[in-house]
Amino acid sequence: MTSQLIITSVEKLQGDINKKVKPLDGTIGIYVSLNKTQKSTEEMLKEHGIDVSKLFFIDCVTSEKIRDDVLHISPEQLDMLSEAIKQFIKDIPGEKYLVIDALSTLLIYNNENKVAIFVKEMTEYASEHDVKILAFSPKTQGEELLDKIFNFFDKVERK
Amino acid sequence: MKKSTLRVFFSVILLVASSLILSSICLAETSNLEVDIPSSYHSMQAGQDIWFTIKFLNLANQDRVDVTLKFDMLDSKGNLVATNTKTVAVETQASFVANLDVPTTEKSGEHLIMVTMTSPSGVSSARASFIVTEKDSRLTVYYIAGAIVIILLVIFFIIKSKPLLRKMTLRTKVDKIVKDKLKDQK
Repeated sequence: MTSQLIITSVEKLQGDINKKVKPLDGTIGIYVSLNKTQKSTEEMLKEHGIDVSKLFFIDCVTSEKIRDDVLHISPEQLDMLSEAIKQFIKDIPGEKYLVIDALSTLLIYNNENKVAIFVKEMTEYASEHDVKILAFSPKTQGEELLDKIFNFFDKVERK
Repeated sequence: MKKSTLRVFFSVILLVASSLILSSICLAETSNLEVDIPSSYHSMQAGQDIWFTIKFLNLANQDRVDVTLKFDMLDSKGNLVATNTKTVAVETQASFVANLDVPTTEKSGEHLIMVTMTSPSGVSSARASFIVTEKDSRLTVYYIAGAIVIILLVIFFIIKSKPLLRKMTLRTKVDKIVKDKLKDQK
């Protein structure tokens, strides 16, 4: 399994997410939504024919609990976010993948070093548990962070 | 014959009566009451028990005599702060151990133990003094310090365990979400 960092423009971000997730359709995924609500993310994915029933959402935008199967975590609480992702990885049997949409959003709430530590922790844990990671980040945001973290990924795509 | 019998009878009664009177006089004259407070009880705190010994010395009579002992504890102003009564059998010499509670509210100062013995021969008394000191305030300080340490430890434990509890709650939530969703898919 590989870990990929996809750096793209804000306009193309959702399209690139759809393109990357579509081939994984049918596999169970963990979707960390940092800049859109779970509801809008789900709608966008559905529009592109992606089976969202296989996705576990962690919504870091809204704190209001609407659905029981969606976990709401504040983006400030990186330790809790990390704990939740690890627990999902542990609990979901078989093949799975992790989508982080979008990494640079974490910089609004946390400093660069903390985010870099979080990314390192996630990539290591995913690698240990054979989980594919797709981390997205808009090109224009958090360039310094991207410079710090790109080494943690097996593959970096700049579009 | 009758006269001589009566004489003997009265003589015997007189003899018995005089011997009884004599023995009582002996006891009254020679009895010596002594109260002794052991050195470890010379200084007491309010709320503690004070123990003391009562000795009857040089009792001339050989017969057993029941005596009543009254123990009084008096403060420095002569006020009665504690009392007790006991009846004991006494022969030539006897020693008894007794105790009194120093009331918990008793103020510090010199106090007296006064023992009054009432016997057929009369009343005699003896006394001994001791000091009541204030309660050891160091113990209270230790208790307060201990309580503060325990409270601080509890607060420290709560603060430290809060993130752990939050993580445990989160893990349980994730477990439930995964379990329910996978169950629905089956």
